[in-house]
Amino acid sequence: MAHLHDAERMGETPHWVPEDIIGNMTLKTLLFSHDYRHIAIKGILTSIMMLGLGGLMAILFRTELAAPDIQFFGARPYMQLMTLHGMFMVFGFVIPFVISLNYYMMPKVLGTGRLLWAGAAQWSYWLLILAAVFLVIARPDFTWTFYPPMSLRVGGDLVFLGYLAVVLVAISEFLAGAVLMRNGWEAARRIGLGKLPLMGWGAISEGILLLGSTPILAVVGVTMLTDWMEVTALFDPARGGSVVTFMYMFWFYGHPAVYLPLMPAIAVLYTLLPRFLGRPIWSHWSAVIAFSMLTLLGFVVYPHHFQPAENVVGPLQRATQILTLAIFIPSTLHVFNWISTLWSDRIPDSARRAIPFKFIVASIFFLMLGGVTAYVNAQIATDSDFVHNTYFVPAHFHAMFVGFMANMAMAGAYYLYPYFTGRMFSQGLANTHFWLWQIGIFSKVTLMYYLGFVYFPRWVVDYLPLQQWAMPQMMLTGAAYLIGLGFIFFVINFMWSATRGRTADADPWALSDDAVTSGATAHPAE
Amino acid sequence: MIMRFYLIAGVLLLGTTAYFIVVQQEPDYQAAPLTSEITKLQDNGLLATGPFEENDELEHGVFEVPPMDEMMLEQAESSMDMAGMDMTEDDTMTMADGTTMPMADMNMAEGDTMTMADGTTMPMADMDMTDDDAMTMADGTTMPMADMDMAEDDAMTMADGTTMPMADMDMAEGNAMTMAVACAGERGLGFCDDGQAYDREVEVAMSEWTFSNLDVAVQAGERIRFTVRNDGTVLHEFMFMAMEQMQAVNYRARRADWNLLEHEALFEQSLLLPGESISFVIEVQNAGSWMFMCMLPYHMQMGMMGQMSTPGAGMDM
Repeated sequence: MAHLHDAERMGETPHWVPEDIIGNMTLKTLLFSHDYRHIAIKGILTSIMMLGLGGLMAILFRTELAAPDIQFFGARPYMQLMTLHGMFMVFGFVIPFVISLNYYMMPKVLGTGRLLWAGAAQWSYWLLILAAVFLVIARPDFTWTFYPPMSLRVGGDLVFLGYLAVVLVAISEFLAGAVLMRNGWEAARRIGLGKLPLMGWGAISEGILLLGSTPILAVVGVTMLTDWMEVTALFDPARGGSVVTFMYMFWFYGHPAVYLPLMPAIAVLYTLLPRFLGRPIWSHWSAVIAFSMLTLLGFVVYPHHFQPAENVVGPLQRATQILTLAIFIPSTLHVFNWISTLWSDRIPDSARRAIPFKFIVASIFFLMLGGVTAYVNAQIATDSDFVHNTYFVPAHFHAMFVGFMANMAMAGAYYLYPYFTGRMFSQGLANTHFWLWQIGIFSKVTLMYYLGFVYFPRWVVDYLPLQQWAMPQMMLTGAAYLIGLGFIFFVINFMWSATRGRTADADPWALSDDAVTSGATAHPAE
Repeated sequence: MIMRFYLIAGVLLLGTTAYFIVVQQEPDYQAAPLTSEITKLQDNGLLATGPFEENDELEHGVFEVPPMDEMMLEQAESSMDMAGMDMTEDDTMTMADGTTMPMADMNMAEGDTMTMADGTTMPMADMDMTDDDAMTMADGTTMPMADMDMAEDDAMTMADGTTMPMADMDMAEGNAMTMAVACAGERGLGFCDDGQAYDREVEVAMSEWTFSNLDVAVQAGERIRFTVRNDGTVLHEFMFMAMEQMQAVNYRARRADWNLLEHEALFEQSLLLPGESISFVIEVQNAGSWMFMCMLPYHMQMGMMGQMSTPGAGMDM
């Protein structure tokens, strides 16, 4: 019965007639068009640019970290590069990338035909560009969390641009959340919650997270600005403010912020997996439950980001730990749902050949890798005794952000490529990109976990020439170069194939004959 | 066309950002608060003004050595390895005048004699400094201690039998010979407030992360007016510690929950704001070496540590 129910939803797969949308775009449509495809394409291209920028910063400081001692630059450039790397990758690359993928897919999948409130999506894009420009000019060096009083003291004269950028990011993400919420809600109103595709559930969850958390970020940004101007003193402890207030306010946004790229990426995965396998998702309602649980838990677990602090004690500490561990439940529901879908029947040859499908499988692997090791830092005792502020923490979120979200972003980009260029990308270059990335990301994440266990601290530009530190650092730099090389292959492929690639078939991702469709029609609506 | 637009824009952005962050980097590492800002905060009553006194009530339990640690500390202090100062038997100790002294002979038990460099012996039991007694000198003569009466118009009997009229010892200001008050201290170093008599002046400036003089040479018996000035941009402190305490400091510094035994210091000026300075007089009571440092967290480890030593007693710095 459940399968029949899902089979009706199978018509709502994202499929368009492949056409050269990019080639026909002019500067005018690029700047002003409210067509959802144009907004999504410029979001994707800008995000790729941001990925290059954040990646370049990572390559630069990884080159410096390859060997002990200072070779190329000191602490200040290192901290600036690392701060901008974090900000560009999270605010500039993953979040806009997966949200743009959702912009592109939602009208077709949810049956709305067009992106509602496209103007808000337009404003969201331009405000984010402005924020990125401000960040590059301000060059902050106090990590993306900008804790007072340090960020108030050491930021320099241009730091106010950084705070303005924070406010702009908040407004931009709020607008994006409103767009997702509006479209998800409209689809739910038309189709009914019972038949709402999982992308609709993803859009509603993401909308709740964005609308609920970003206003606090805007308040934090404005207050940091006024604290810096010495108008208020809410966060500055030298003038009677409280850093604890800052921590609670900032991380109330900060934890949902790590789910902002997660939810749309999961939604894209739920949409593309049935398309490649030719059969519905194994369990629709467990996915809905998992989306809802992640949304609710996303708002309450934020104290685990500062849990060794002395203000997280007693019942709050216990509640934080239990709720944090409870996140395993929805995450596991998602992952087992995907594994069951893959396992329930034969994987068709068309899927095995498809580059996006490879990226999806790699994403599932990395979400598990980041998830099962998260037991260590989810528990307060092991976290504060062994891994707090070591490379273990970046290892965890790089497994999630790069291994899952960036891989899913790439899956979406390769999937949509024939639809907006009218041509297929080079399979060889895409395969090279895929394997360079998977080897690079796996080595990087594993070496970072190892360095965490041998207590390599975060945020250091120089370190002692210990054997257990120096060798993995050198290898880590090698892994970063592999990822950078893979990105270069990706850009070359993206540029070259847009004009010289093979013309795409009417259905670029048509199922091969060996597909077992469980009786459901896997044919797209158009 | 749009793809090329993004490619060109991306490459330009990459290049300029990398250039501005890595190549075109201003030399200063951190904009530290200016002295004027500190003064402004002090004027508004937001920042306390020095000099800061220690407050036992407030610091209770903060700097105390945990009982479990005491034993380890004593062990660390006693096992100190004084490089060069080999105290094993049959060895000799090089004295300041270049002669050597056999260590085995240095038996200091009461009733025994101490062999001096010239071969004569000095009975240790006789070294009784109580009043009405006499002190036997190395050449066999005795000096009556009771006669060492320093009252004015009196004379002081010297070891050779001559007398020196005390009235001639004019203590008025402007005179060359001022009668110095003995400075209280331990482990060979005495400290007095500023304004006492001194032989010479030493000035040491603190900055990030060093002292202007890391190896201060002194002579035993000297009295020195020490001036310590904070020329840096952040808060510093200044203290003297005896060399044998440093082993314990080293042990503490390696512990996760360390505090650095600052309250064991021979002398401590807890906080000096940028621009502030402090003066005091030290009396080098015997030969030896002492360390001075700033013990704010990691300041010492980053280089704010120097030594003061008499000739031959210091380490190579």
